[in-house]
Amino acid sequence: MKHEEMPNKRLCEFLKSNVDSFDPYFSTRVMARVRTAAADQEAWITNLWKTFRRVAVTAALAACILVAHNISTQWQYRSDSNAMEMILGIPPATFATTIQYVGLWL
Amino acid sequence: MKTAVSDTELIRQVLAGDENAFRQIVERYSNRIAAIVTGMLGRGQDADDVGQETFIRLYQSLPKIRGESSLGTYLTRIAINLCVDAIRKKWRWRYWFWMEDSEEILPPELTIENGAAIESGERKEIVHRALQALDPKHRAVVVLRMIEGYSTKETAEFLHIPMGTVLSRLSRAQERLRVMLKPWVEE
Repeated sequence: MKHEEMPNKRLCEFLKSNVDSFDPYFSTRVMARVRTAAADQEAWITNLWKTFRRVAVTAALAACILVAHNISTQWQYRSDSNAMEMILGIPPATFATTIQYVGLWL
Repeated sequence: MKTAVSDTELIRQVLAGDENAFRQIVERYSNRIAAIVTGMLGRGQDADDVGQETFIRLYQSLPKIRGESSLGTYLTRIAINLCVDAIRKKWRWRYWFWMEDSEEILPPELTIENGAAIESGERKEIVHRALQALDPKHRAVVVLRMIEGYSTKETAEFLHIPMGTVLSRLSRAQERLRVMLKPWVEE
């Protein structure tokens, strides 16, 4: 075990008995900051929720418009394809379309 | 006779929404945190701000406290980390905005005349100036080891340094303090 050097006792006592304390009403200042911090956090969560709601509503509206557009434009000539494919605007997965897409990428 | 409520009970009350319980925690530990913070940073607004921030951090982390260490130790750790950050920021600021008046950079020297009888306020001033004259690394060891009374091992853990470094810093700091405070601390 390492040697534990004991600090000078008188020096310790002198330092301990003469250290500073905070200015009066320290606890009141802390409590005021605690309340402010709690209020700030609440406001931040509220703002985040409001922003999310705005984005979510806009995204939902955009999705609805896209679905309506897909259905209206592909209704006549894709009556044979899957409903989900039509709603999402996905081309029918046939051998010919696959070759066509692979050819496009290459 | 009124018995003191335990820290665990106070934490439980704070988590249940009792604001007054947190005030009790602040009042219970403010002197201890003041000794650390003013010892490390000196008097003034910086020390008060760091003291407040210490308790704010505690308040925010109360739900996560699992009782592995005492509340005092937990607070000491927060205070030490915040003080180290504050000192780093201060030195960085001084490095970038180096002023021609270099005297401001130097630690205040102890120039109080040796007097036999001194008031309590003066003694505090002497201790304050002696601590500020030390290098921040040495000051941290003095605050934890000599003022707060933590062991060498605990001090080493708080400061993330080896025990041997704590011992050498303590020895050097004591040497300086002995010289500076000789008239008031007789061997």
